[in-house]
Amino acid sequence: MELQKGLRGLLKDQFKRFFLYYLAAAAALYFTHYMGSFLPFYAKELAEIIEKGTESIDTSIFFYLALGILVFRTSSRLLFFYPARVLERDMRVNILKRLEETNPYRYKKYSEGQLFQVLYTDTEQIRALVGFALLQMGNVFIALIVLVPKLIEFNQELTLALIPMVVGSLLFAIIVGKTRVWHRKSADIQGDIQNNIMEAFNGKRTIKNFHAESSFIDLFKFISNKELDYSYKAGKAISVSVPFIPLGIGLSFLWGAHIIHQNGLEGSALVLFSGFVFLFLEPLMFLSWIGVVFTASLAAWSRIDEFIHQIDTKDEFEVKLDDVAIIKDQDFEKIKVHFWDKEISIKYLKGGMTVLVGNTGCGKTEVLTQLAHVLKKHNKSLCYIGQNPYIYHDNIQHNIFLGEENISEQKIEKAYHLLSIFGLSFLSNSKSGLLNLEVGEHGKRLSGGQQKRLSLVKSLLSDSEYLIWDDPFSSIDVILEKEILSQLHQERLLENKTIIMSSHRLSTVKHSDYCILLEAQGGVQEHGTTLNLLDKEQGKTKIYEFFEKQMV
Amino acid sequence: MVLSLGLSSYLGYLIPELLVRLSENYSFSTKYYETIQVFLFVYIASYLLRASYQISVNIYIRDIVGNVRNKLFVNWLLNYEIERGNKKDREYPQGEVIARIMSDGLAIRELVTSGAFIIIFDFCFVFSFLISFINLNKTTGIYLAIIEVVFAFLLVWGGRFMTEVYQQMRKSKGYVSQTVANVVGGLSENYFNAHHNYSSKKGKWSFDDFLKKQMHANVWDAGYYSIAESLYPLLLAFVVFIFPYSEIKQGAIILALVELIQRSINPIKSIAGKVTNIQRAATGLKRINDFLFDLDTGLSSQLERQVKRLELDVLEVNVKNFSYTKQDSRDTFHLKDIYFKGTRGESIGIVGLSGAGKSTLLNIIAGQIIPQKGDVTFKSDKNEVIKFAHDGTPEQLMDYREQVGLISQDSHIFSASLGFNICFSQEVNQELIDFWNWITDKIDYLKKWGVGLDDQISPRSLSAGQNQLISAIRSCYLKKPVVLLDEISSALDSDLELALREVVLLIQKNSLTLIVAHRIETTMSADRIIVLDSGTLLDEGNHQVLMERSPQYKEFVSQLIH
Repeated sequence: MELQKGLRGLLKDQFKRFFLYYLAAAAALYFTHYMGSFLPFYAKELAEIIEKGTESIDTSIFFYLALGILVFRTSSRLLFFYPARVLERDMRVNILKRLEETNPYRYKKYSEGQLFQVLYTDTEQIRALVGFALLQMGNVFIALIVLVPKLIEFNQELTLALIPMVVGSLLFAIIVGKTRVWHRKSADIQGDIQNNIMEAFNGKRTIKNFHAESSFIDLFKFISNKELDYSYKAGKAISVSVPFIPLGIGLSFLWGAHIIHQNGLEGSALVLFSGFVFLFLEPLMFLSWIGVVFTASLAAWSRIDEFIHQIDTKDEFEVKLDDVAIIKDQDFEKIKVHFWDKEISIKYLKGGMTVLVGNTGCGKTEVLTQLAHVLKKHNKSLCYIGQNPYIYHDNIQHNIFLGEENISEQKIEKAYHLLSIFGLSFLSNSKSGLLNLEVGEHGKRLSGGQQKRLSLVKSLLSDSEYLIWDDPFSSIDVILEKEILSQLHQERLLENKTIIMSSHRLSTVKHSDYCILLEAQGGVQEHGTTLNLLDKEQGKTKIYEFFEKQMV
Repeated sequence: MVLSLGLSSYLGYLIPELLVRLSENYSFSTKYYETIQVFLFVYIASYLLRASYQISVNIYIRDIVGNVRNKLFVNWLLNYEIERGNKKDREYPQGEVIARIMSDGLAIRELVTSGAFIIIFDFCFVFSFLISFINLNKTTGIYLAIIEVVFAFLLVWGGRFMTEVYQQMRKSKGYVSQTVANVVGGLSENYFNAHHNYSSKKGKWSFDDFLKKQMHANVWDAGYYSIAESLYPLLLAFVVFIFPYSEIKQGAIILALVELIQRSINPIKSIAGKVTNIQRAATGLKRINDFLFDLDTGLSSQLERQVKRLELDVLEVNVKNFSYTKQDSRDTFHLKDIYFKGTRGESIGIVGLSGAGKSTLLNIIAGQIIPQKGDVTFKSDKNEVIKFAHDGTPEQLMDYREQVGLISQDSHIFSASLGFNICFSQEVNQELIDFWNWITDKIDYLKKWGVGLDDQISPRSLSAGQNQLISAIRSCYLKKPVVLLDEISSALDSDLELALREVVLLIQKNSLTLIVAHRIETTMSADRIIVLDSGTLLDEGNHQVLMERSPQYKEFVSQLIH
């Protein structure tokens, strides 16, 4: 699906893809209206029979017509709805797939609530456009093709009388079109409300702990009322313009009455014309809703379009890192990163464990992110575990294997083994019990340390060449950390993996092969093999001093 | 609203007669055009009525949706979602909360945007039309009325069978919303991981399910709507049956009759067409009701209730039994016979190996878990007593929780200004400014960090230590008599570590602090230390005493040091 081709491109593809559906739907609509077009003539006949009071009329034809209308009408609707729902699903999957492959910097301005709005609400609006609005447009179009010739056949001048009806619909469409800006605003704010709920959800314990409900409620009410107000403004325009349609129809009827009178047609022609006006009423009444759907959908599309454009455009940050190369240097590799106002080169041991040390806020996370970008850019297989890794509302197995399918028994064994090493196997009595354990939303059934350990297990299972860990053992106590690291080393589970991480802890550094000390002002202060840097006999190194200061 | 409905009924009453007049006077030009003129007025008046009716409905719905939405949010936020061993209040996941508050509420608004409300308007119009027609020709009028009522009844009755289908569809839709909310959060991280398309696969699964349920619902509503549409020829046929018995002699009445059939089909059709909207709104309402019901069964805080902040004299913790069986496990975790007291200004450390029950104990004292047996008693300096126990009232719970502040990994920092994160109010008042100046003066780290009250905080970019520092400052500002600190075990650089300890010292001056300690320095500096092991209290005393007599404590300390 090529969303970047714009709405028109999307619709074109949709028609191509579901050509047969739409063809069949058009045929069904045609038959519906064709059958309907007989009705005014039968009504007229009825009036004439009454006046003459002689012949009787065969009613079975009415039942056939009813059955035909039922069948064709139903199928025309379903034939339109199904492709639209498929489109909705495919758009959602497509946007999700794009997002998965898109550098998150490109959509950093979008809050989770706004992403939700694009994926959930905006796509649904496009569905309404393709399913409902297109159906009704086809409906109007085919109604005109079928009904107008019939009317012309009866009396050419009477078609003129349809003008007020058409004008009423147009007026309606124009006024509704003006509400687009309100629909857009309302959709934007809906994203904010959702984000507001998400924030309150994630921080609910804190809010309740500090009894801060009222300020969140006030904030919610404020945004919610703003949204209601926008949609009310849109609704007001609709309220004023919808009744134009019945008004137009009424006027058409009167004008028709005038024409019939002038042309000296029989009185029963009134019955016929009123029947025709009625037949037009159905599609035109829906035409009015097409307008509403169209405006709301165009607003939604403009949001999707902006979003697609945003994720298709390189972020400045990406551009800056575009030409950065990975330079080989014997057993090491070097990558240049932007560090505050200068450029520094980060050297790490290939196939070993490198630790970045430095004060909080000196820019370690930033360095790690940039390394991840550059490695990803060069198509290296990597796994990045941030400071607060995200845990899915899913079971443990899906959280560590993510979307991987057909997982071998061997891999399951390895996973269980790693979970045991990381002290997570106690969560359940059995292997299958553990892997199927639901961790709750944002992993809230696990403690912070457990969440982090789960993510580390995930990265070790991922077969990635590079593992980047941002402060991996924070919220894991020293005792457990020591056990984990020595076990991993002992069983050679880290072999051939290039691990780059940040840490504050001497105990972590001790397990590493190579060490870099960073400082916000001066960049790299010191680097070298851990053995050398921590060796007291070599004299006091800066790293040694750094940790000494911490011990106090 | 009622006025426009009444007037519209009156207009409806006029129309049949006018139609007959129009038809009868066909041969008399002046009268014919006079009738057309009257019609013109009627149509214009009808336009005005419709417009004003729609506008008033619009206002009405805006208020209703607003109120419902606010009520849902308020009730949800006030609910404690408290845990009592294995019994837990029903917790709604994030996507579900959004779905209940937003889309289910919007289903009501859809009633307006889809024009469902105009049915009532049309209905009044047609009803009076019908009455007026009965005046013209009794037999046909009553006959037609009965047939229409039967049809309308059949349609509405048939609509009941759709409820089940619709509920399934909405449930599936709720699941889509849940899934989207779930995967959206992990997207940026997964970009750098071997994600194997987790998000899109997970998404597709829920979208597929929804597609299936939705199409099922569509088959129903499309068929349903079409049945209503096929009524036109059916009614004509039924009218033919009655002709021999009615005394219709003039063709003029036929115009009114046909017009009546046409006009009455619209409301019936709308009932059918909008039944889907109404059903949707009804299932939305049902979900809203269930949600409110679940929230009501749990304990909630009361928004208007003023809670007194007291000064602590003594806090008495007496947990006789708390047991909890982990999901999918036969082992039950017990916390048994833990009794200790704490007074204002004291700092108590809680230590133990992981799994000893430290966090659970802290959560009990924080009022987030209610033990099956036992209580926590807060005695103020003026001898007021607040008890927190499983049989307590919501008021007691509220009073108790007001006295306690918790700083833990769960402490959330909101993406808002720093000021908001400290005082939870949009306006920064003088008190907060003074406090901020005072605390930055005392704590060097804050000066170095250089954040101000108006700075926007982006929680994702904070380190665990900074997160905890802000939470601690928050507790310090809000001056809770009992402050609980679940220390992060993360290693911190010396500046931040120092800052945290300084803030805790500031808090300690006026409060009782209970600290689950992960650092040797904190442990050593506590006035009293409680040693927990597999859910029981092993020993109690200060560092020196425990070093001498408790082997478990010694073991713990030696592991911390290394």
